[in-house]
Amino acid sequence: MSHARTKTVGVVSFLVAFGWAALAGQAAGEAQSPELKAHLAKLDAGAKTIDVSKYPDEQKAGYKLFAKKCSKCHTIARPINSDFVLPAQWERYIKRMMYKPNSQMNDQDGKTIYKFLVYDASVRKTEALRKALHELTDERAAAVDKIKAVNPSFTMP
Amino acid sequence: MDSGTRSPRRQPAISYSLALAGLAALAAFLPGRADAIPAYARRYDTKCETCHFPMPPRLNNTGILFRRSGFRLPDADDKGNLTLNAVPAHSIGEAASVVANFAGRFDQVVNPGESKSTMEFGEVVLLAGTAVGEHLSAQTTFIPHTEEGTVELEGAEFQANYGKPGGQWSIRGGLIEPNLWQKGTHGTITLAGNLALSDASSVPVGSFPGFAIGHNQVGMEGGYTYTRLHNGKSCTTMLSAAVLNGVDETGDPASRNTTDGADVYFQAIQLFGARNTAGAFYYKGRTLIDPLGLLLPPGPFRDHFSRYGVMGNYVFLDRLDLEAAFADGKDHSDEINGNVVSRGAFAQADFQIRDRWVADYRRDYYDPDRGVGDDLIRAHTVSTTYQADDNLFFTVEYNQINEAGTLSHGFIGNVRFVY
Repeated sequence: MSHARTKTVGVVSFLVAFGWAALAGQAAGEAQSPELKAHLAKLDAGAKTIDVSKYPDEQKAGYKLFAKKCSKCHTIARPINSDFVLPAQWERYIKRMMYKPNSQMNDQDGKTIYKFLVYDASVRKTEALRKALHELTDERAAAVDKIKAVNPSFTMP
Repeated sequence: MDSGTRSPRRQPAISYSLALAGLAALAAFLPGRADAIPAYARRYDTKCETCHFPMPPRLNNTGILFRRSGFRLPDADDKGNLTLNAVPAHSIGEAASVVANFAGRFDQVVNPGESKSTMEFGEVVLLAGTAVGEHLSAQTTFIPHTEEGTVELEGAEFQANYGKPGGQWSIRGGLIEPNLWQKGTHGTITLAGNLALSDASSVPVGSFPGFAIGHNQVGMEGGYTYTRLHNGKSCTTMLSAAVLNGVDETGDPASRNTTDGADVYFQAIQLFGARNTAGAFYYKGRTLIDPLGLLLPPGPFRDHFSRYGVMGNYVFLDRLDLEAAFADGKDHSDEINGNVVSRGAFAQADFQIRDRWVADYRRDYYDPDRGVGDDLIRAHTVSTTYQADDNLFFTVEYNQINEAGTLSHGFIGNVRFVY
């Protein structure tokens, strides 16, 4: 194929493929809403580390695993700055992550990361946790029990 | 070993063939290019590591399934069922990435008139791909500047996928990359490609430069992809059959079929775990040499060839990726009135020293004509690449080629920009 012809074919392919893509994309819609994108961008721009120097050894080890496993696909800042604070929220979220193809998180990994995140919320996100617990009615006692199972010194704020 | 009956022309042609084989081997060791596409990571709001291990452009099993599913990212719903998420590109800017290479190199052996040490402004490549609607997808690889300063359309393919995420039928056509197992072709981490699955033939057969399995080709492919997902562990089986134009008498992909029948290519690939693969392929093709009858004795001649092989990789300890391939081939040429049987293999180890820093070693073995002694090509490749951020790669590489007992070596330092 001559260079001029190849170039023409290339340019035409680009225009056809992505003109088509533009039209089809509008019809298919976005996987993420602009609001969600903005929210995630805000989380990603937040703190990227947690000071775990005063955490128990078990939670220090949990932090290492959390930082390794949870930064493979998204920023580690995202879960660190997440609005999630309740055990049920973390349980559901971690299960979702574990279900992802090739997540490389086994059950033990999931439990360790769950315990770390519940503990971390109980000492670092106390105000958000207090609000979330007060919004609960029937599930509040169970949520507190789950937090105490990870952090025995936790008291209802 | 099947070398067949040789014509009187064949024996004098051996030294010429060896010289061509040597040039082809050297050509195979020219810097390659990256196929990492940050545009996908931006669009899907994910990291390179989601689809690449140990480093772009090599795909892990999520990346392979993403590509096979028409740029739809494998995911799971709240119950753990496999889903495929599409984020279509709305413009070329959202779909395309640009890759540019700049290298300094020293070669012990160069062409007459060339310096042994040189700087090269390598290829500039535009890669773009997107899902289109619910079933369709498109991908283009356009090279506005090749290493030779020319323009090249390397790939332009359209694909349709039908069925459930766990069981998809697909058909794709255009100027396609037929190989489903790309760890040894477009997914190689070293600058130099391997010899066994190269896109530059090391097997000249008479006047025909030879067929290389790594070429993109014009054609159509149909396939079935079956994926099981259980507790975050996926297992995928990919089957495919392609009808292709094959190559012309220069060994380049034929824009029009040159013979009465098309080439056929069958592949089966198994993906298991996050990054492990195993597969096999069989290719049968033909081409027409000297269609105008300009050679002595005048053509046209036919060359019928077949290639088959097995390949796979396994990741140990989350850091060491071992891959290997074995490919056998046979050409039956009317021109030399005989057969040429070739055999190639490679074994490569990629060790992730730490995140974004990989060291690689590959051993190549290629026998371009098993009917001829002392024509073995063996090579060592030692390479290390550091990914400074999502967009910048630094590579230092050493290649040593032992071609029929003659040693040559080259050093390359390469900077690759990808956006």
